[in-house]
Amino acid sequence: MSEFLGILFRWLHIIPACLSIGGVFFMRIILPVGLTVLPPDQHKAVFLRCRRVFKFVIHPSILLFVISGVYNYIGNREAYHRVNPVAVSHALFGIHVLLAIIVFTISLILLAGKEPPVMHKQWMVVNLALLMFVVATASTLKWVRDHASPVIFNHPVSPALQSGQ
Amino acid sequence: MLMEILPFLFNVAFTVNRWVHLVACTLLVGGVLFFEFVVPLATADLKPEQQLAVFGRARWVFRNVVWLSIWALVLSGSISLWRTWTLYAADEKMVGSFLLGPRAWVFSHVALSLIGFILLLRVTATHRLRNHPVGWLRAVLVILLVSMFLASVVREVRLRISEFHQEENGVLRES
Repeated sequence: MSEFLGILFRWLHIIPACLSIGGVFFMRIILPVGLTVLPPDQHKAVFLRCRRVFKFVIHPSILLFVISGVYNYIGNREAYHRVNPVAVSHALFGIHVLLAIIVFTISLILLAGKEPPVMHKQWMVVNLALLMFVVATASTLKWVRDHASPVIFNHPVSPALQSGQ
Repeated sequence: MLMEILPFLFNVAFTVNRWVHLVACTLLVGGVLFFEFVVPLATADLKPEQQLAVFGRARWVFRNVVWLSIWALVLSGSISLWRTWTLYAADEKMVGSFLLGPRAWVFSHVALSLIGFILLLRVTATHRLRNHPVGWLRAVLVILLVSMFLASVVREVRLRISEFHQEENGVLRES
């Protein structure tokens, strides 16, 4: 059962990442180009409807992030403690969580209310950049966690591993 | 000096490689979901020709993102596969079966992803919009999500084999 939950929650952490990063990218970069074919009044109406639907995607995504993130942290806690020095994994994990909280806050503020805030385009770009950093910290954290053993930490592919010992 | 730089470059390159794989995946899957789910809902009140115009124009931009993401995914995936191939082989040797080892799941992940890419290019990278584009995008989305699930299974299989190895030999393996 724990194997299945491990797979499920890892998957459920990646799906909201896809929804939020891909969605923000689409809302900020691709959608405005698509809407240029419409007259200004319809342009705004369609954008606001997209924003409303996107809100229904982002809010459950944040919930999924939090639930799956907590489960994954509990599952990987021991592996984080094995990293030498342990401060590296703690620092990366801390930055990952802190950036995620900032991204959630910006998303919630940008999507609150019926009309977007004045600087929503600029903040959307900031959020997209921060999301890329969140992925980068998660990716580095995983690398550090998986290479915790001092035997293989400093070597591309250890001979012991290659021979299957 | 070179012996110090080599592991540093190795660690940086493979971390960046994983980041590229993840970001390309998020742009592709998130973009498909937005196209298939959000755009039709948001343009439902427009006339059919206006809906097609918005869809077509967005598709024109999304096509470049799709091509870039697919190339990034194939390249970064190949590099990851090259790095882990000997480890997969060692895992398979340990469990004594292709189906119980990680390679069966990796092949399924790669095969499904390639099918998803081909179908996605069929919708986005053509001169004329094909019939039922939203339906095809829905199929692509399901295929890509299953493919991501299989990647998650690969990881779990490797972790379990690694734990088994640790219990047997008292030595940690790379995972």
